[in-house]
Amino acid sequence: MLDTENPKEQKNTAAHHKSTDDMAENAAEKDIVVKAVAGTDTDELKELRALLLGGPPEDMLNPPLSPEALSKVLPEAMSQAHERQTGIIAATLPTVETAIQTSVQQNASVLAEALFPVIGPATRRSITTAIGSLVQSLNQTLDHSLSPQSFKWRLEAKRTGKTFAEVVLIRTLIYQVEQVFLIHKETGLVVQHIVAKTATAQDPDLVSAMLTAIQDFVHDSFTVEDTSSLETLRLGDLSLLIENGPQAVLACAVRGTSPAELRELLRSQLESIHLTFGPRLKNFDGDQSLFQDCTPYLQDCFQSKFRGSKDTAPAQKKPPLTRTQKLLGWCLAGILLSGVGLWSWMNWQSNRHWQQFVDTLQQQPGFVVLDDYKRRGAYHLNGLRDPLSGDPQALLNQSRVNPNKVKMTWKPYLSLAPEFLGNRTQTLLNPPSTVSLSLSSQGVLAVSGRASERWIQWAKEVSSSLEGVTEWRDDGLISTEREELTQLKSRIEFRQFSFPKGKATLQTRYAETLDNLAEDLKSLTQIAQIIDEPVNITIRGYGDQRGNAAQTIQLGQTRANYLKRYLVEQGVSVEGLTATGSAISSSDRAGNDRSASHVEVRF
Amino acid sequence: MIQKKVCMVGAFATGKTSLVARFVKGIYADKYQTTVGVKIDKKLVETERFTMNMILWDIHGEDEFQNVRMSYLRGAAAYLLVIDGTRRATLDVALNLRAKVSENIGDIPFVGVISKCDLQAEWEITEQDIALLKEKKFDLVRTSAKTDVGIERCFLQLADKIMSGAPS
Repeated sequence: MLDTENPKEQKNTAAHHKSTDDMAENAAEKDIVVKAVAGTDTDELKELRALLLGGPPEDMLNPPLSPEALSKVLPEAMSQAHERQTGIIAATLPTVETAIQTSVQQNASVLAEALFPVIGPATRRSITTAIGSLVQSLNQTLDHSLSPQSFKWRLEAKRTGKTFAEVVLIRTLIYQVEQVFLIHKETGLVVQHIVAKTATAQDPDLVSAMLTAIQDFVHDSFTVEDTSSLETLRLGDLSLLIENGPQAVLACAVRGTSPAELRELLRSQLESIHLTFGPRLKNFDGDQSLFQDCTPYLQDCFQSKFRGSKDTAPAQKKPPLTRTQKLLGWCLAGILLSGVGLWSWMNWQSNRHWQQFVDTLQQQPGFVVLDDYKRRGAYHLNGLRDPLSGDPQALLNQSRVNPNKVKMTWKPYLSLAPEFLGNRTQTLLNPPSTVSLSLSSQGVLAVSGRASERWIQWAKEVSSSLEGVTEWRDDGLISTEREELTQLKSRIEFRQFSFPKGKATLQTRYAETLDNLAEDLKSLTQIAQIIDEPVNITIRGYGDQRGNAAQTIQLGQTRANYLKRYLVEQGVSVEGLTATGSAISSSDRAGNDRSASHVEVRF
Repeated sequence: MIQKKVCMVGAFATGKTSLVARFVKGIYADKYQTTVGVKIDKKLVETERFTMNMILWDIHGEDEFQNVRMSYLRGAAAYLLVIDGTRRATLDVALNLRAKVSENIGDIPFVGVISKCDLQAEWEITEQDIALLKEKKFDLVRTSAKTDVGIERCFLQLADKIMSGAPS
């Protein structure tokens, strides 16, 4: 404030400033105050200084910069310089580099010892990262080489001519930067281009030029501001992110869904490129070799992220469940558990009932269960069944098993159980109701009652070939035919017909009796034929006791012939029928005379 | 290696695409296909003095429906100004285009190409026209993409002009 009040003073001050120009600029504030207050005249100032400080003023004001003083301010000065970014790093860098170089040249062990604790962890970390990425890529290949999806991918690889590994990468990728172009904005020429090892790229020169042409085309075709430009091109799962700078364009070919950070990264990289290479880009004459050192900026844009890999972006944390949601969850879990429990219990019950049914069947005669199982909720059973056994379906209906869930397959077989043998014999022989059969456990078939000869013969023959029958015993069995034959015999035999004396014809009163005899004889012949028994019937005729013996026999013969002829005429078979004449019968010797003249029938 | 952007400029159907196809791929197709927008190709030009990677911008021809977009020429190191020898009108279009390029892009090197010299009998461009162009310091090359005449020459001449830094 004092400086500005008086122009003269101002002049003086300026003069003073000039005289003290060589004073250190960073001198203490106190000095400045002193000089401001006392800055009216140089001589006066000197005097004042001499009075106040009592020493030679030059030495006080311009002290030589002692190392001691410098050492006091140097650390703070450096710290401030660093904070203000005044280029102290650039200034000290050559010195530091040279110092390190010299140190290594003089004694390498000093630095080696100092760095020793750092080198170990650094190396380990580097190796772990390298192995980690190797294992991860191996895992991915293994994961995808045997899955059903892999067959689809193999087909795709064959179809598109890509390698299997490429297809796996494309399909498991969330996004991957495949190519990065740095394009000179004005000419559309490629300044630098890098491509990922796993990606296939077309000629970058053509792509870059065409991209520039497309940008121009879009810009010209639609009315837009001069500053706006094409930012994204998308084709299928490939998108092209384009970042425009004043001199160059940075374009990224990204497969998959690129995150927003990628564009931020592109922008910052492009800014860095402009910062470093701005003038070179402005004067770009098509010589790419001048831009080799901008490759690292492009490399930084290479990013990728895989599906299922652990180092993907942090998964969105689910918000914690509310009380109602928890309650609902527990209820659902409870219902689910009860359902599962109920189902299990019913299933167990059903299985138990089925097993009971199978056991029952096994115990039943005439059933053999070969196999039983459950498939798709239905019970299946295969077995053998004697046709004489009970109805399995009826047994099933009686059980507690649901008949609709059962499928039984039976094959017929013959059971040798005694009850079945008896039943089967009964069924097969089918005896008349007058016959009773009994089969002993030793296989003796006892038959009793009355039956026709025909059935007896047939049953005897059949039973000899019946399984389980070893002996036929028919002690109590009566043949109806034989019984009848006996009755007929008794009726026919010793029947006598008396002739009038001297005559060989019978009186008409015998007509009915003779007819009956003829019928009986015919029946007898028939029955004898059935039971295959030879029948010989003799008609014996007796003469009267009047003439000589020869005449008597002759008359008897004539009488017997007469009866035979009569019977044959009635239809009696002539076979086995004999007529013979005879003298008086022994039984009649003592008898009356009349009884001598007769014929009789004998077997 | 040096890369340079080179543009093909001219009226429609003057044979710009055929010129590039013959130069880059050594082929010629009789069938005419109009260029929409721009086609990009590249060709390595090797001479004793230099090697140049020429990025060729084959820009659609100028006609009554579409003007050549000057934005496509931005940053070009040089251009071929293609004139159809059989159509007089293409010469006027070429002169107009040249003026437009000078105005918008600047005086960059160019080489004038009179194409279809295999159809010399049908030419409408007269010797007088050519003399007039030469008076205007036009470098002129007669070409035929069909019979492969003058193709290498026009591109090499252009490359030379670029490397020598000669203004048009």
